[in-house]
Amino acid sequence: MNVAIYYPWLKAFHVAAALLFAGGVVSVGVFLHMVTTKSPEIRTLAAAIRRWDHAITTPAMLLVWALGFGIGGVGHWFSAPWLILKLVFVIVLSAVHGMQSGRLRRICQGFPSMPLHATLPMAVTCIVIIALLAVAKPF
Amino acid sequence: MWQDPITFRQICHSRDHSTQGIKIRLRKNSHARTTRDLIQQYQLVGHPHKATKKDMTRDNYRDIEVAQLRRLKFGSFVEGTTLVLLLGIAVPLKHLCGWPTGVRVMGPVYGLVFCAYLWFVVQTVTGGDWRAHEVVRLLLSAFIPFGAFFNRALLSRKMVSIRTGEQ
Repeated sequence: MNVAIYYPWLKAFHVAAALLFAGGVVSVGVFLHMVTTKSPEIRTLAAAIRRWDHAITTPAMLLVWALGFGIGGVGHWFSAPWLILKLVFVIVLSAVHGMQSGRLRRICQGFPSMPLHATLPMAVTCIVIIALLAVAKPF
Repeated sequence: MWQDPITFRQICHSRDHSTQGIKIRLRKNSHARTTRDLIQQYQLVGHPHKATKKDMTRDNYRDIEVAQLRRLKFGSFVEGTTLVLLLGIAVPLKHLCGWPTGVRVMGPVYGLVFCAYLWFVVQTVTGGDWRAHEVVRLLLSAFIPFGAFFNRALLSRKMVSIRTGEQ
């Protein structure tokens, strides 16, 4: 079976999952950037966002990884320098999402939480660089 | 050792008559000491009147944190198992028997599971109170064959300390 014929579909689902993942990370980043209190309303909102994160963003992230491994293998991209650099930013973005997820859990538990200002610019920077590297493949 | 059975009707008023008269028992390691504790604990085991996710009580905190540790424990087990399969079976088969398919399959699978495990560690550590040496231990164990299986004791200890209210 020639898996190369599935390459466009792998890529399409990879991009779709990446869009969902990026959207989830940015929206949680905005929430954590703004949240300053531990009021019951904030905790209820955090619980709803956390459910979305569990149901959509985290599976999308896992799908991005899995399909990314598949595309890299099928397309023989793993020796390309741009992909190695892109992987670094993907790992950073995933770590940012892990931090956001942990902070959301802490807010749901009712602990006082300081605004998490760093994750939003980090996430946006990573997403922009990943998109540029993936499309332009500069080196 | 079991304590004396307590009739549910004796400890709370239930709106659902079908639940009245149910006898429940407390385990030896139960943290329930008062009637209120007992009701909360009873609510935690899936009773129709259990507290909803919106009720952010102390027990909800325990539930959320224990569930997170349980996920990490499972992730740690899967990570350790795939590493052992890769290094213990697939790699020897490739180099000794000339059968590279095992490595070709298990390599990406392990890579994916490894990334997921590291992500779980970041998620768990960010939301809880962890010491630096515990975090380092969780991270290092991912690189050592059978290392992830030694996380089981650490994570079980953490779960017990959360359940008993030490954290």
